Amino acid sequence: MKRWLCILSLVCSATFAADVWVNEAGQIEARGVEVRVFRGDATEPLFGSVVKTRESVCFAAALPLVSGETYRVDFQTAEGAWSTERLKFTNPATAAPTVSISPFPTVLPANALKLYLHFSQPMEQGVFLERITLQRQDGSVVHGAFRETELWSPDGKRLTLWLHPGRQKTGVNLNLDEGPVLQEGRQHTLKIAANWRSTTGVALGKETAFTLAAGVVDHTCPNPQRWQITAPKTGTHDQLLVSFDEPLDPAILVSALKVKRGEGEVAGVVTVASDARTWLFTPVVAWTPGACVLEIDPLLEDLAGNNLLGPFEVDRDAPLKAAAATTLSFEVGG
Amino acid sequence: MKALCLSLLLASALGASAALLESPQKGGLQIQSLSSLSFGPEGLLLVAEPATASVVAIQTGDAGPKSERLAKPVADIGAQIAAGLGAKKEDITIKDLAVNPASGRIYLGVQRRPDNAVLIVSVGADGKVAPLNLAPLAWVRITLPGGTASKVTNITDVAFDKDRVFATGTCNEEFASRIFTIPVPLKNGATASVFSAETYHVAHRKWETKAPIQSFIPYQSKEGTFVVGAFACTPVAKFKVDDIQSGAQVKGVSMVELGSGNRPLDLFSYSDKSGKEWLVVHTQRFKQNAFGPSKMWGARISMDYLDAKAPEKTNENAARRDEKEPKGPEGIEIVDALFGAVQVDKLSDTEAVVLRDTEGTLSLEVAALP
Repeated sequence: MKRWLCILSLVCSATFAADVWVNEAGQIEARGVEVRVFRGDATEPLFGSVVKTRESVCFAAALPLVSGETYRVDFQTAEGAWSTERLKFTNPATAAPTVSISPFPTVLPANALKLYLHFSQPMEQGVFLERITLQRQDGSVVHGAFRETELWSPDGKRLTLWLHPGRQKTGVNLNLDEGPVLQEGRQHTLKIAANWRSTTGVALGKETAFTLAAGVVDHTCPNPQRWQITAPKTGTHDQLLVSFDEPLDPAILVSALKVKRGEGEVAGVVTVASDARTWLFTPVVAWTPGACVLEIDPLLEDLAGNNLLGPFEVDRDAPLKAAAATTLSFEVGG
Repeated sequence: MKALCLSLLLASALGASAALLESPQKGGLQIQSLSSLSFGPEGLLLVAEPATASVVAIQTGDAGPKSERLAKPVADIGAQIAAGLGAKKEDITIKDLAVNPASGRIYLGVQRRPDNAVLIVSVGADGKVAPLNLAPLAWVRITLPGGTASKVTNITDVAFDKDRVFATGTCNEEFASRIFTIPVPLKNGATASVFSAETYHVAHRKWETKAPIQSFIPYQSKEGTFVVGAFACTPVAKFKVDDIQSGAQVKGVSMVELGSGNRPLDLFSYSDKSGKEWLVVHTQRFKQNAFGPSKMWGARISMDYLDAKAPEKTNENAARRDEKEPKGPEGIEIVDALFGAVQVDKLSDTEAVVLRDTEGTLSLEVAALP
């Protein structure tokens, strides 16, 4: 029911013929004994169920009717005659969606695995490979640059864009046959097509280009011993700042660090800087003096997929390294 | 309406599979997203719903008899489905196809653009498409465990196996896989066990890297119960899942390598006329195929390969398909009927249902298995 009411709010400017209308339940209702609904000039009708009342017949579509579409309603009167009416569902006045990239500026190791696109609205799915293009510095297109699996956040606004692991992994056949996606020391351009639509059917409207700079490959695990902590002062709501020596995965960072005092977790709001080099924590309650511990999820990754437990790619000829520490201490003082 | 008639027919059969669901809900089910469909016994449909990190089990009531085998190919079935969803042909994606083994009826999970709405439709023997009317059907939804250690945002596959349901999932942010098991009877709010599943793709016997599970089947052998999974880029590996505590990490053993640059889409097993068992792997190749007209293709692998135990036959020593030949080594061969297939499922030990894409036009047919 909620879904239908939502649709109704979108179609307030639709024009309805006297014999056909959208009822309070969001169903198409017609004066008659039989009804079939078609999208535009389609020859096959919409899926849905039909319920007859004494004077009219109601059609409930299996999926919500869509704004911007025209529907043809064929209905049969009690006398047996068939008539046709059209319903035009106007587009709501929705602003065009926008897109940003994370991390930004996008300086990646040459063996980077993923980056994130953030949209201001939920976007249509199933088309990302046609809507995103990666170009090299000379303007040539990198074909097969991305992993085909489409990974959206639950709200449909964030796309995890995997650079094709088969090409980014050292020594895998695609890496040898096609070469890596990113060229070390070069700039690349990620283009997002203008015709990518939000779920309400409004397109981005203009092409968006992001510059990706590729640095050297990174096979080293993140090491918290190289991070810098700027401790807050007692009695303030100052931010706790943790600065990293390299950009870390911005999405994992959001939930990977926790501030502990004793056994308890300090409540606060987390922000990750756009370049993914700084993690900021604002406490709900003013800081009190004493020792705190920053607890780190060992699955926290850098941009090349190396985590605290080990590198993404293990060189089996190299000696094993000890896992990195997963806690850092700091003191809240005067 | 035909859909209504079908639902009444199905509703009358409800109750036959009552033991599979405990205290199910009736009506009110809305599928928010779907990534995979699969059938258990007696018409029990399993739907992977990534938006809620859940598995939804639906008693379709479509419990047989086996009379719904597609009689003849359906050309341009995409147009029929798109019209029913109120969309243009290019604005639908068939997310998955599953054949109900009880009836032979074909079920498709469809997503519409731009609103990403999903619908399950089915195709009967006459080739007509009808929506699955969820209103009269009993169902349960099991949300997979959350939390850092097992967070999952993409459910890659789901399958029924005797006394439990398996699901595989990956996380948006990490290149790793989870295997979930849910006890049967299925009930709302049931707790799934979760294993962290890792397999390693070894290149040049030097670099080990992680790979996520794309598709899987449960597999019983003398050694116990396994999940046999196909991975991106593309080893077929098995995970022993007997006697594993929830939260454990399971390391897979690679058994077969199909060649680089393959993205597995579907797996199923069958026995040929001689009784020999085969595993069919349907995949999408990165580059044009050397032996067929499409990047979409499939191979069958003798199940004997899955029983290999010796280290000299597994992991970096696993059998590797000869990419320069249509067959070879012995027991690994291309299945010609799968060229161009975008979705595949087993219909019987002699036939599979194939959804084929020919330059943007989808057709549905029954193809003979070799």
